[in-house]
Amino acid sequence: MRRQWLKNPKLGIKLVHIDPYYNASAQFLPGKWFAPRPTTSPALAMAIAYVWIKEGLYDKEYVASHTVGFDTWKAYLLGEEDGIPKTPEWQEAETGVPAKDVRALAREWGRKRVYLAPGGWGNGHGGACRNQTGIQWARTMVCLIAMQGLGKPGVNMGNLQWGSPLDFNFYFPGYADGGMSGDLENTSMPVELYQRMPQLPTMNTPFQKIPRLSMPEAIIDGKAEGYPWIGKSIEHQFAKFSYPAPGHAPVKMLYKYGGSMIATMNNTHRHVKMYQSPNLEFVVNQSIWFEGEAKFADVILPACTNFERPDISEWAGLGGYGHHGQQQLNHRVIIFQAPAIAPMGESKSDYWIFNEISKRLGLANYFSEGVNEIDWVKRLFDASDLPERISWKEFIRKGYYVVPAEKEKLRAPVSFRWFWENRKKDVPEPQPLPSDYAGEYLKGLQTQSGKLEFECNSLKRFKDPERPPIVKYEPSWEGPHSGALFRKYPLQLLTPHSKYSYHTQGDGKDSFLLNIEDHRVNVGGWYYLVLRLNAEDAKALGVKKHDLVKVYNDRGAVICAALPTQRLPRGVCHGYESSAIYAPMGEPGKSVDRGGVLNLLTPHKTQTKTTHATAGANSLVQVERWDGKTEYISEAFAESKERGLPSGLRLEDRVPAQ
Amino acid sequence: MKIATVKFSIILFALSLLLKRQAWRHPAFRDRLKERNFVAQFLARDEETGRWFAFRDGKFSSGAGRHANPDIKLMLKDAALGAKLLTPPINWLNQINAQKDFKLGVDGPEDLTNWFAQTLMMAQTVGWKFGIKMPDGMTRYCNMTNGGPVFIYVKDGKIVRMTPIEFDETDAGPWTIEARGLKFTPPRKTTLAPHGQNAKSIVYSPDRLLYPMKRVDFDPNGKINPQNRGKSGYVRISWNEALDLVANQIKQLKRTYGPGVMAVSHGSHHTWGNIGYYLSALYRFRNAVGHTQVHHNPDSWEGWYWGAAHHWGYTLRVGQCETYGTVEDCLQNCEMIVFWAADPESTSGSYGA
Repeated sequence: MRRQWLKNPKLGIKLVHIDPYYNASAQFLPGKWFAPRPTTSPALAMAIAYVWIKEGLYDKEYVASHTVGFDTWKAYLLGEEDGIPKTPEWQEAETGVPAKDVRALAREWGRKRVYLAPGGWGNGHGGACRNQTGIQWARTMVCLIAMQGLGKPGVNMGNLQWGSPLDFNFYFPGYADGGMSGDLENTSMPVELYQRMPQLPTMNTPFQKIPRLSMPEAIIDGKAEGYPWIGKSIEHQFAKFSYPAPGHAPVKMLYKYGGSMIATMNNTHRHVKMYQSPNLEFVVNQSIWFEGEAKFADVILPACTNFERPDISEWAGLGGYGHHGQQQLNHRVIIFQAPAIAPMGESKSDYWIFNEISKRLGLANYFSEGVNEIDWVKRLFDASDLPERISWKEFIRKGYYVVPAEKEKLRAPVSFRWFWENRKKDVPEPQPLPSDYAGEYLKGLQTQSGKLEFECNSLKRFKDPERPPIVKYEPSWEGPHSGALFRKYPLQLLTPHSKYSYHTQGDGKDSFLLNIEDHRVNVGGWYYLVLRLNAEDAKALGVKKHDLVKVYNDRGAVICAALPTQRLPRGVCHGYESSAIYAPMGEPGKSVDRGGVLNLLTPHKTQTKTTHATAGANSLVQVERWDGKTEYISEAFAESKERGLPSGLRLEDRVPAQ
Repeated sequence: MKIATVKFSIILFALSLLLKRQAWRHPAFRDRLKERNFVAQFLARDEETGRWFAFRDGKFSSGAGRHANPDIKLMLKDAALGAKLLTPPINWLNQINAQKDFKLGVDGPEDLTNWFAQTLMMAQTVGWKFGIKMPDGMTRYCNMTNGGPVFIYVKDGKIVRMTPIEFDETDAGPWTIEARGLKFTPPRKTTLAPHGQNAKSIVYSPDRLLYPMKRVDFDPNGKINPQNRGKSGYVRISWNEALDLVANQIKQLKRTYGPGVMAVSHGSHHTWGNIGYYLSALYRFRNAVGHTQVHHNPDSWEGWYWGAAHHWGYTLRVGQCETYGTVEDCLQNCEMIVFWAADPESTSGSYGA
C-alpha cells in the first residue's frame, strides 16, 4: 500500500530493480530494471563496490570509524589477492548486465542517499538468499550499505515494507511467543509471555534432532548431519549436530502436521522414497486438506480451519525472530478469531485431537490443564495489554481492536541512527543479548568488534573454506559453470514464493485463485502451474503460450503451462514453488508430475558444507513440449548414489562460463 | 468449623448450582452433560470436607461431603487452598503453582478427570456471545488469515461473505508522516494479501479432510506395506479407532525402540492463531509425548543467518537488521531505493500487502 506513495513524482525518490525476473514490484513501480543471471548478484555487488573504491564514491570517514576489515576486502576487489579486479567488465561475463549500466548505477548510488532493499522485507527475507550463492549475496548487501554509511539520514535498509510508526510498547504476544506450548526452550515464551500467562512448562526429553533438509537421508540411510538455527549468538550456528543422537532410538514413526514438504523442500522425490521406506513403521498425518504429502500417511486425522475453532491473534504479530513484525502494517489490529461455523464433516480442532491422544496416554490434564480452547484464548487476552483498553465482552462481540498509532513525539527512533551517531542503542528490540556485547552494553553491534565487519571475526574463528572471513565470489555449483550438467540442462529455473499461496496453503483445493492465469491455467480440464520462459527461448524450443511443457532434469519431470515472456532474460525460466498438488501420472517418485511440484527438480545440497541452508531456489532444467508420456525417470536419478551433488555433476566438470 | 472450610463448601455448592443453571439455560451444555455417567468427588485432603457431583444420563446431582464410591477425585491439600483456587476470577499463577507443588491433584481415569475439569470450565464460558448481528440477519465475526484480518459474514451456519476490515468511528485514527511538504496517511482499513483472499474458498474446498482415515493395506498388527504409501487408497474409520491406533503406536514404538522413536514434522506455518498454532498446541503435545525434533533450516533467511549475521550480528532477527522508523526516514531523506531481489508486491511483507 505504502509503495503507491513512491509513484508520487513530488516525492522525487528514484527506484531501481535488480532481479532476473521483471517482477510485480518492478512492473508496478517506476524505475530501471537490471537482470543479472540467477545466482550472480554477488558479482554485480562487488563491481559496484569496485567502482566506488576506484572513484572515491563511498563514505571513507564512516568506513574508518564504524567498520573493520575494509582494507582486506578492498584488496580482494582490486584483484590484489587473486589477480582479478572485480570490475564492471568482470561482472558482465557472470551476470550478463552491461558494464556501462553497472558503472552508471554505482556512480548514481555513490552520489545519492540510498535505501538498499534486498528481499521482500527490504532488509532480507527471501529474495536471492535461498540459492547456491545466497550467503554471498546477503554478505555483499551488508558490505555495500556499510560503505555508504548505514544509519545516516536517508541511508538505510528498506523499501517502506517495514518500519511503520506504530505503538511498540503495547504488549500482545506474537505466535513465536509460544501461546500455550509451555515450551521455554524453542519459543520466546520465557522473555515475557510466561510471566504474563503462567502455565505448566513442557520439556522434550529426547535431544535427538533431524536436520530438515536431510530428512529422507536420516530415515533411509539412518544418518544425517546438520547445523542448527539458534539465534542466541552468532556462534550457535557452528555447532554441528548428528542424527542419530547418542543412545537414542532410530525414528520409526513420523507425526506429520499440516503442509506438504514434497512441495516445499528440495529434490523431493527423495521424500517419496522416504515414505516408502520400511524404516518408517508408522506415519500419521494431521491436516486440514488432502495436500500432496497427506496421501503418504497410514492414518489421516482431519483438522478444521481457524474459522471453525476459537483463537486470538494479532495481524503480523510474530514475536521471537520477527520482533515487532507489525512494522510491516499500517495499523496494529488484534483479532478474536471466532468459531464462525461448525467444523466441516467430522474434522476437529488441533487442540481437541492432541487432547484426545493425550487422554489415551494419561496426559490430557497435563496437555490441557483441564481447560478448553476458549479458556486459553481468554487467558491470552488477560495476559496482554488488551484488558486495559477493551472489555472481554466487547472484544468477542466486535471481534477486533485497533491499537492507536503512536504519538509523533513517542515514535520509535530510526534504526542505526544511534550507531551512526555513536550513541547507545535506542530502538525497542531486546537484542543482542547483554553477554554478546564485547564492550559496554548497548554500545555497538553484536559483532566482536561492535562494528560492521567487512572481515568477519566470527569466520576467522570458525574455518569454513566456503565462507571466508571476507566475502568472495564463488560461482554457483548448479549454473553456467557446471559443465556437462549445464550442457544437458541449459536453462536456469527460478522458483520463488507465489503471491497466490502461503506455502502450500493457498494453492489447489479447487479455490477460485486457480482461475487466475498468472497462477494456474486450465488446459483440457486440469489446472497446470505456469512456467514463464523467455520468448526467444520459447520460440527456439517451439513452445507457444499455454502449451503444455515438460520441465525436467535428472531429478524428475513436471508438466506446466508455458508462458513466453519478455520479463525474463534468455536462458532463465520461472515458476512458483510450493504447489499444494502432487499429481504423479504413474508410479509416485518415478513418473511425471502435473501438480506443478517444481521442487521435485531443485537441488537439496546445502549452500556450504557447514551450513543447513537451502540452495534450492535456482536449478538447471530443460524444457520441451510435452509428448504426453507419463513415465519419466532418468537413469541418472535411479542410479544416483551421490545424494549431495546432482547426478551428472562432478566438481571437475566446473568450467568458466561461456 | 474453620472459615476456610465454610468458604470452600459454599463455593462448591455454588459450583453445583452453576452447573444446574447452565444446563437449564444452554442446550449445548445440557448436551455436554449427557456425554458421561460418573461421580466426581471434590476433596480437601486434611479435613476431608468436600462435595460430590454425579452425572447420569444427562441428569446432574450433587451433595455435600464424601460420596461412598466416586469414580474420580479432585484433591486439594486443604480447604483454604480450595477456597483460594476456586474463588473467581481464577488466578492462574496460583493454579499452576498448586499443581507444581503437588497441592492440587486428580485421581481416576484420565478421560473422566479431564472431561470433568473441562466441563467445569465450560460452565463459565458457555454463555459467551460472539459476533455482531447485522440488520440483514447475518452475523459478522472476525478472523485472521495469513494474509490479513477479515470480517466473516455468516448466515444459517454458512460463510456468505468475507471482506477486509473497514474501521468504524470508534476505532483509533491513523498516523501521518510529513515529508518534503507532503503528508502521508494510510487508509483506515486492513489489507488482504492475495494468498489470503481464498480463505473462504478453501474452507469449503472439496479437498477438505472430513473423516479420520486409514490406508487400506496398512495393518498395525500385521503387514504395513510401506512400499504402497502414496499409491493405496483409504478407508474411513471412527475417531475412536484412529485415536486409539495413534496412541497405541506411540506407546508400542517407544516401548520397543526407546526415546526419540517418533519424529514430529511441521511446516513453517499453519492457519493463524496463538493457541491452535504449531508453536503452541503442537509444541505442548510433542513435548508432552517426547519426540525427535525435525530441526528447521532458517528457510526465509538462509543467506542472512549464515552470511550477513557475521558482518553485523542480528542473529535474533535471523541475520536481518532492525527496521524501526524507516518509513519516515525514507520518505523524508532518501533519494533512491535499490530493490534487490525484492518483490514486495508479490510477497506482501509476508502478511501485510
